[in-house]
Amino acid sequence: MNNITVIGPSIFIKGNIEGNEDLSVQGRIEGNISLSNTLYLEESGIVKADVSVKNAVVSGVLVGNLEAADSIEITEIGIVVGDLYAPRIVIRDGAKFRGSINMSVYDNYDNETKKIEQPKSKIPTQKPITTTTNSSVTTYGRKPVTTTTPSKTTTDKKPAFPTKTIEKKPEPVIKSDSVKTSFSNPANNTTSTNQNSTKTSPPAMNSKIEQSEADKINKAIKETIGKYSQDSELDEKKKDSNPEQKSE
Amino acid sequence: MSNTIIGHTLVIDGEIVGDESLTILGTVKGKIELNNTLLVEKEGNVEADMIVNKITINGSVTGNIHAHEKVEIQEAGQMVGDIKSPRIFIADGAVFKGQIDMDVD
Repeated sequence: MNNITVIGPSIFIKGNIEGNEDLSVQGRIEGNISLSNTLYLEESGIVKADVSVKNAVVSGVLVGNLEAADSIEITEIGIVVGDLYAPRIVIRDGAKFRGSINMSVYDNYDNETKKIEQPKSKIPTQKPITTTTNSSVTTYGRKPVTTTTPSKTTTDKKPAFPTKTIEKKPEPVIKSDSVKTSFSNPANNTTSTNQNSTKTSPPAMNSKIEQSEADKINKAIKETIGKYSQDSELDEKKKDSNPEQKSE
Repeated sequence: MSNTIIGHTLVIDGEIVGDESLTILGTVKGKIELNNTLLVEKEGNVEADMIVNKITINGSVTGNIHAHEKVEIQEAGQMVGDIKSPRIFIADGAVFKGQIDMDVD
């Protein structure tokens, strides 16, 4: 009797209980119970706690997880709501139980297999995950970044294009009126426009000048040729006439 | 015959509330409210504030005691704390440090 602790039916303990002896609970306990011996939860006992003991015999009401190093027994009048963890578990006919049961052997087996599987799964999973995530992130992340940066560059370029378009727009004006272009080009103060205008406008001027000069030259050549031809014809006629005349 | 016994290897950290007699052989830390007799045996070690009807100390107690009837510190008892009780008995050989208030409520 000295090694048995009894908690009477009118006792309510709220807190942690630790010990190395048998504990008979007839009252109420809320908290954690850790014993290296047997817990007897009597019919009038109510325990709302996580319990870790060597043996447990539940005839009362237990709400919480029960872990026993040796065995758990839920008697005919016992009520347990929670998870049971023990190598040996007895649930008598008439007992009420809701929760899960883990036999330590299988649980250790699962833990070992999980421990073994986890690093294996981690290594192959990490590589593809990292690669896929990196690739996906890079593909989905960098592309928009690149698209955004080009968009900025395009936006930077777009003002350059409109200037060119604006440059191009006056160009037909330039072609139409060469005098206006000469005034508009210094107003723009753009080297490209000046270069283009200078390049475009002088050929137009040169072409007109050349055409006029060419026409003049051609006319002069034709005239001269015609003169020479006429002269030659005349000369030939003269020669023809002359030999005839000479011959005559 | 006390209904509740807390064995000598048992450690309770928390609050104990009850209406029946309590015998402490182990260690209790926290708070005890009891409408009955509390018996702290030789091996017992209590660090708690207690509100009880009657208390008998053979072991070691640290904390304040409010007893409605009587406080007894036996020869082997050691007590550190304040006592508020109408009747107080301190045996020869007992160790006590603290204040005593015997005003009747």
